[in-house]
Amino acid sequence: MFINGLVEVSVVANADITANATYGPFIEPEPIESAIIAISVGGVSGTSPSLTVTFNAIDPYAYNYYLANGLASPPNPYYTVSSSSITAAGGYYISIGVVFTMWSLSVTVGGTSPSFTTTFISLIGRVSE
Amino acid sequence: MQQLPYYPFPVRSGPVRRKLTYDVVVFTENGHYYAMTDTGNIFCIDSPTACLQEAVNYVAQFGGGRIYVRRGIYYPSATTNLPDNVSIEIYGDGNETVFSYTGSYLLFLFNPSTPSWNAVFRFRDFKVDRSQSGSNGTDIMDVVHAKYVEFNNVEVIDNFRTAGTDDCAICLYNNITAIVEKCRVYNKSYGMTVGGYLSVAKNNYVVNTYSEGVVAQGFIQGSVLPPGYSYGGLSIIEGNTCIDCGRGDEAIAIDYGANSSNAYGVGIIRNNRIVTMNYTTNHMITGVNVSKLIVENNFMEGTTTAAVMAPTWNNGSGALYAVFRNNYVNVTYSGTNDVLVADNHDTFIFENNRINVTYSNISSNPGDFFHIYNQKEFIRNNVINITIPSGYTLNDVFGPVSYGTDSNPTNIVIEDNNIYINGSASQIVSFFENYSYSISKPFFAFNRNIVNATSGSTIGRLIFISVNGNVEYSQIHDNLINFTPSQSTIYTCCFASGVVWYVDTDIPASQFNSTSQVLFLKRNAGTATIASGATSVTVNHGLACTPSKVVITPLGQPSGNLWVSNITSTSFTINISTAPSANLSVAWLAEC
Repeated sequence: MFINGLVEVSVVANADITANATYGPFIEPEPIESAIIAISVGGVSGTSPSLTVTFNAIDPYAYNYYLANGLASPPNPYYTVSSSSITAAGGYYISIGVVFTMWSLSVTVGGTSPSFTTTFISLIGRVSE
Repeated sequence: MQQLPYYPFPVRSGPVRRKLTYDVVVFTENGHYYAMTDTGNIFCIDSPTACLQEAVNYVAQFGGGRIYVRRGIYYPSATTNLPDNVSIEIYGDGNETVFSYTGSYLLFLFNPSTPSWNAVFRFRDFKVDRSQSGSNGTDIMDVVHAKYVEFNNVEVIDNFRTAGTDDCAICLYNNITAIVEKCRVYNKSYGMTVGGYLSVAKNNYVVNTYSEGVVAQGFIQGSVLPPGYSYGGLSIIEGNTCIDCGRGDEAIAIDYGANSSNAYGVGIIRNNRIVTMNYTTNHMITGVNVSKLIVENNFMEGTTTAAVMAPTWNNGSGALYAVFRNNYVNVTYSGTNDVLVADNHDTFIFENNRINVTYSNISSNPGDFFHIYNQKEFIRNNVINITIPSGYTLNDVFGPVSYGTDSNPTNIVIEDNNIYINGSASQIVSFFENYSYSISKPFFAFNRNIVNATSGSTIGRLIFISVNGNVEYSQIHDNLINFTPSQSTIYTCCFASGVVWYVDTDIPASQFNSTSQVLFLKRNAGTATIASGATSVTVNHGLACTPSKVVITPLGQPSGNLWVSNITSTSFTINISTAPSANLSVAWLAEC
């Protein structure tokens, strides 16, 4: 969704996160020049639960090259940033210090029977000056 | 004195003995095939290979020899297999020696699983005609694991197919030396693949191939190697003409395989002409996982359905050096928003090229015209014309992304180019620096370029810099910019906290839009205001030094004497002896 130069992409919407997962890659129609990943966790359960959210910026050309040539593994992201370990309900964000058009997100959980309920994760970015 | 009789040259009596140039002659008469020794012994009449296999077997028992295939049309129904550890030459009478067949089998094959690396083969002066209807896809002449293989003046005519593999005219893989010269291939999935630690494809003429028209490669990853060798080699593709080649792939390539996990070898593509006449080419030149690549003096004209000189992209390590120079490109991109070149060698040099690309029939915005991930980039002395259709916006003309290190710091130089944009673009340069330096100074230069845009073009910015490391040094001087950016001339974005961009430029700071700290390396200028009733104003000069000189000019009748004091590393003060009754603007110029 674009609003006056802002873009918002909802990745996880009101869902429970109990296992590792990867979302994307997403491709934006215009380069995102400034962005954050906004994280909202409604509740936490399990034994020593932890959640880490990682943002990856991917080179679209390299990714297309990987697809077109049937390569064994996709290209490494040119930029990666992770949240600190989230262990309690609340709001968090990751600042993204890079311009990107293609990106992916991964969540990694730790602990025993971890569950992060009513979780929202979105990318909010700005596309231009 | 007696005059001696005159004889122009000495003569002797007796029969003239002619030195035969062959060991075996293969010939056809009255619908039969024969093989005969140089002494006149016929040892083959009518075999499935038109006596070629028998001729090969005969000379092989002596370690090899020369097989002359006399003019005529031969219809082999089976493959002639070449033995290992021999030296054999097979030659004919040019286009008068014709091998004609339609079946899915090779004409010649050499591919030992445990090679001696001592086999030598030369093929020259014959023609393979598979143009008749009903011809099926097949490789025609394969030589793999030889010490030396050479094709010279061999012509292949086939029916055009779109086979993904195993439909190649001259197919040489993983030899020590492979040379294909003055050969011609028409209407084939693959034209000629020249694989050798030294591989040369020179002065060939290839028309209408679906996949690679001319490709050369050294020892590719995973191949069987001779003792003491490693992957790679020297590959030269030179002086070839490729017409309507690579309709679904690429016309000319140095190709170590897209699935190679690293880049290998040295590749040179020079003095070739690649053109489309009746069809479109996908890519005209590519370099796939080749470590060191030179592309020079080539002419590329016509219509492509993908990047004309890309990819030269590489996997893993080993991508060291790529040069594109003195090439002429005049191409229409049909239905593709692809790049001009995509390259991730450590060093990328692009100079003295004439580039004219017109995007047509596109449905989305083109990305970077130069999509380049290098530590060292030198883009100089090029003439670049780009036409983008109305309603679409090219992202960047130059989109360098650098991963320099302290031991190999970024050095991006874009100088003396003549750029013409017919259409819209987001920015001329979009540069990302990705490394945090502790010792070295990464450097970006954009000097003496001329950038023109047509009336009605929308160009967002001249330069967009995003420093994702910790520091960047830049020089931006003497450019002639003949458009008004719709956003800002120079835009810095997304720097991490504390990052400093040091710049030496003649572009006024007023044309910067900086969300990050910018310090000027040599000089800065601006306008300060002494407020009504005040006797001084402090100015932050934005220099990376304590200025040695500050020049001020009042932009109105001053109410008293003006002078400068308190020059520090961050600011100076403009003083006036008598406070003005209205705001007084003062222009200033500070230099290190």
